[in-house]
Amino acid sequence: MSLLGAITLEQHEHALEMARVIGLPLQPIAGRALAPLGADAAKWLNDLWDRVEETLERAVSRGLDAAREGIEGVNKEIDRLFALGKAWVDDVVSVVRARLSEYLRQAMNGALNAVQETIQVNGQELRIEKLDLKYSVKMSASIKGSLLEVCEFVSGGEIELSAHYSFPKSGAD
Amino acid sequence: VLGQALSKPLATASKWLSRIKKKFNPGGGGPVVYARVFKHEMVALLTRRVLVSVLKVVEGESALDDLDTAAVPDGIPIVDYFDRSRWQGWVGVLAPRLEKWDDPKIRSQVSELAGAFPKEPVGGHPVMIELLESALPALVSLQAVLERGPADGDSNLLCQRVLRLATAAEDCGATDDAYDLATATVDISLPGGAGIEALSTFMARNAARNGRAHQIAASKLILARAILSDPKGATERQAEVFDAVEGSLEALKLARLKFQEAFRMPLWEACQEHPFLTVLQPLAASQFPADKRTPEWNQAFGRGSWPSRVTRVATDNWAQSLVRSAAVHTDFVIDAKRVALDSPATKESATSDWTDWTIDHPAFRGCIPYRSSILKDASFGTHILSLSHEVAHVYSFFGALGAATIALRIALLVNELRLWSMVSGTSRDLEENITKIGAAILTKGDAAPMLPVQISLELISKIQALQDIWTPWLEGIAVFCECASDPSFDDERISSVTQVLRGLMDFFPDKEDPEAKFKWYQELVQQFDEKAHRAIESEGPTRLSMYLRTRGSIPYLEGYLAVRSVVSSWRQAAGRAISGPAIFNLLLYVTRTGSFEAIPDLSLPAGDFHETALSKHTAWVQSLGKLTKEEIDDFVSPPGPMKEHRSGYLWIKGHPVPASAEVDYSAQEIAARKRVLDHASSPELAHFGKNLVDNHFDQSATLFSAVKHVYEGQEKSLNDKDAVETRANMFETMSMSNAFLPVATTLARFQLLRPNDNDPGRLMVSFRTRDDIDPTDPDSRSTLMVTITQESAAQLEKEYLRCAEPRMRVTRLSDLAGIIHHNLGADAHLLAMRYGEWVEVIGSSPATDTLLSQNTRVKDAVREYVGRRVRPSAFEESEVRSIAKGANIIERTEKWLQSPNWKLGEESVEVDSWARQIRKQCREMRECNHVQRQREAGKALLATIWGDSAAAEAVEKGFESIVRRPGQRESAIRWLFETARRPDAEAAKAAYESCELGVGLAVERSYGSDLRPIA
Repeated sequence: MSLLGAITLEQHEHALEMARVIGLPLQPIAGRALAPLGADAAKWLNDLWDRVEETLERAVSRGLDAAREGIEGVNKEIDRLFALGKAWVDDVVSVVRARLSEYLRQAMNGALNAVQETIQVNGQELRIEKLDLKYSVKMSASIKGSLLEVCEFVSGGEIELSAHYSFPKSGAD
Repeated sequence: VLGQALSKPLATASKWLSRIKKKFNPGGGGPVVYARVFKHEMVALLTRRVLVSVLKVVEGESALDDLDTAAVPDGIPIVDYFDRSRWQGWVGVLAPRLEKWDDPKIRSQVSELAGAFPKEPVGGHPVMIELLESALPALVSLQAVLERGPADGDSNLLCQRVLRLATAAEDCGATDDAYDLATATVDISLPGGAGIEALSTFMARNAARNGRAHQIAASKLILARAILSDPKGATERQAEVFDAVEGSLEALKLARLKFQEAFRMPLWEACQEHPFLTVLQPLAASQFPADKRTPEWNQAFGRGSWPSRVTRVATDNWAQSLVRSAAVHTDFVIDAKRVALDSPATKESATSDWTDWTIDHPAFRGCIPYRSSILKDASFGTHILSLSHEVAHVYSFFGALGAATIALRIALLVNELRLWSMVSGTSRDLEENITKIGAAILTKGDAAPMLPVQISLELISKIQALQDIWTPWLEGIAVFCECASDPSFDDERISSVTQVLRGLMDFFPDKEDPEAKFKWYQELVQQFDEKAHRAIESEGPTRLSMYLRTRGSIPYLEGYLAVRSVVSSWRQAAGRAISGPAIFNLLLYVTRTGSFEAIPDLSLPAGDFHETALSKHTAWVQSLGKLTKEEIDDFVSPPGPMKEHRSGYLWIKGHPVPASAEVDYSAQEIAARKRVLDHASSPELAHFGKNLVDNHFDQSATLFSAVKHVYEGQEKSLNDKDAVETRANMFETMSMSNAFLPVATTLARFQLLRPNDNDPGRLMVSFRTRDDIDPTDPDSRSTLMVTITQESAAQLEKEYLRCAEPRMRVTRLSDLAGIIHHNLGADAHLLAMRYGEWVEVIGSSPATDTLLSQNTRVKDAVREYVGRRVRPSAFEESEVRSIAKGANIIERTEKWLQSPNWKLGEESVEVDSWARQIRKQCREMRECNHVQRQREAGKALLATIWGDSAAAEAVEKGFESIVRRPGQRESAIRWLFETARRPDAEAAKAAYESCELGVGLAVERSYGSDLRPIA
């Protein structure tokens, strides 16, 4: 049967939290206190990611159309970032891309985990046998494409799922 | 040519060599084949010479009589021909056979010997065993290279094996033999590979130690060629090639003509072939006689010789003519090219070291700020802010926490010395063992050291526990210092950290009038403060955001919030918006001086230590909230007429007590430090040892009594007055040396004028002052002229002739403890110049230099402490690297624990469960996730001081969990930034109104908003 999986705001927040764990490379050194020198990369990452979060939140709570302006804004920022031509630009882009992937993974898991394992039909209990996403998400190599894909996927806080329930096999079988 | 460069002519080295030379007379056989065999024979003979030289030292001249030169009877394998349980047997049978390396049968016998050498060392002298263990595989490789050629026979492996043998030989004092063996090996090897690089590096070091310029030139040339053979050599390793070629050229100037003639052409060709070496062409060309140089060169530099680094002929205008000379200009250009080859990839972060209290800042690794150069630095903001962060760390170490870690470090060192005393067959000079080897080598299966081994692990574990627990707080202090300690916000005082930074400017008055001088000085200081203020304004919020929004790594956020809570409590108690810089002074002071009560009993078992240290630390931070208005006001308000003689505070039971003139403040502080030290001294350590035995020993009464006996015997000797005194002296020396903080360092080219043996010398040192602009720009350089005593000049010249390095190391240090003059404090900076064993220390400005010269007692003390900083002894370096850091000790212990059987003397003992317990301890320490522990400590700190675990958990999820709305995060950072400096500022109010903060982070006060205070 087809189902609509819900991405709650709580799941959305959790997915963001897990995504934020991914950061710019900062390798602590045993026995040494450390202070990174260049703060520009971190600033770009933080600003860009804040915009991404705002956009994702709009997509989840108000749908894809509401997020389009945000997607456009992020795209413009990405263009500005690349125009800087700094050595750390690739690092920033990689982190944003990795965070988007992680967000998507967490959001999917959240939605899939919310599906009931058993349902009652005519007084009989059916157990879930297979659960599929209705369509696949292919993360684009670019952040622009990825963000659009992710926003489409979580749009309106709903994910289309296909679930197969069946009677539990008896021991006699 | 390489043969000529040997330390001893081979023909006179041994009668066997003479015989071989006769045998391989080129007229008597196929020259190509014989030449190859002859070179291989040289390596074998030199191996023999190493073994015999060391044998003579170990056993005396008479031992040579035992060498067995007899042929092995047919049918008897050589390994059955001698007593294999004694190392003398191995040397006796091996050494004579190395004289007959041309005989395939002999070579095959040596291979047999190598295969039969036991993996577990045979009993006897460890030096000879190390030589045998390294010689036998080297000879197997030598055979392979001879029979299959250098490529198929793997000459790279031969080089690596010979390196081990040569290193062992050098350690035994056979330095010339070691060099010759390495050279002969290079001669039969392929020109590239890691093995030959390592071997030629060894040769260069060996040659410099022995003061042989021609050998230095040869070794560095070989090294350069070896690196260039690497596919990445001419691209990614240009700096290494550059150093090798430049070093070779420098040494060649001091070598005899025949070596110059032999080496100058390949060096010249290398400089022509590789564009990144072109800049060295003038140096290479200068090695040729005038008629063989290019006309362009002669036009540029004249037909004379290149200026010598050490000049003996005095001229009135030596310095001026040098500065104007084309050769010195070329030096600048060479320096610039060299700096440009450094990899920018290393410029990612600045660090400070917990163990030796040093800073590594990439921007100050290749230049020395001098005069007012720092003000012209294009990256002034980033450099000053990040430097202030690191200086705050080092200042924080310089107090109770540092005293505790030094005490533990000394206890660890003493324990390792004790372990060395239990290792049989090694030098009785225990310090020499630490210098040469580091952590004690433990004999497999010997159960006697089990207890001290465990004590070493426990001491390392305690040092690491203190570091992990205190990291959040120290990071919080450092971030607060960097972003809030704006000197322009405090007209009355200057923080210690700002003093260090301001001290980077050297005041060179060119005015006589004192008032004019003072005005000029004030203008300079004002310029600095304004620049620092603008830097904090423009870069502070960005850097604060970088720290606080870092997740899953260093707990900056937790530490910063804890510090801000304390600051908020103090402002609340004082009832006013005390500025960031004023309150930073108190934060730093209390962290350094007021935290002795936060340090647990250092003799606690490690299992309890971490927990106790954490609870004491969190309770201590919590107690800071109890300072009264009077105490805070007294500290932060400017010193009035009544306070002029105040020399500081004592910290008693969590409160500052102003030290009056009658109280000997320094004596009390030293006494407090010694209390910490005493915790780690012998009696407590014995108690601690007893705990360990009681807790973990349950197997063998024999072992118990044996170990206890050994331990008590050691302890008794350590308990005597001299040992305790020595330890206290070590403590004071380490603390005082660490009070001189190296802030910048560089290698600098130099010239020395030494007109005669009776007059002072004049030294010219040229270095970069900024790393941010084109290095060839004269504005980024400075030249220092120093007059040095005749003794100092003589020593420098001697060192130059010995090691022939083209550069000396110049280091700029700040006097953190105000040893030069308490009024100057950290404002006083020094320049220390080091060249080999030679060290000279001067004040970086005329005022500091005058103060230093006026007081001989202070000058001597400063020279000693600074000397230890810039030229630590090999023992001190080894202690830091191999002992204090702990990793080597854990590795050593794990290897030792692999033994399946344990013995005490000849008697087997059942201590498997104890060994398992130590093994577990090692594994836990090796696998410990220190960052995770630091984050947990930060969380515990916040939970305690806020009395709110839920809020602490929310913080753990990151800054974004506190400020949920993405669009408000920048405002929240701005609010934190502004309130740290001044909660009553308009900008703070505006930022507060535009963001919503979770976890009850903000509170409102009469003077503005601030962070939630301590509960």
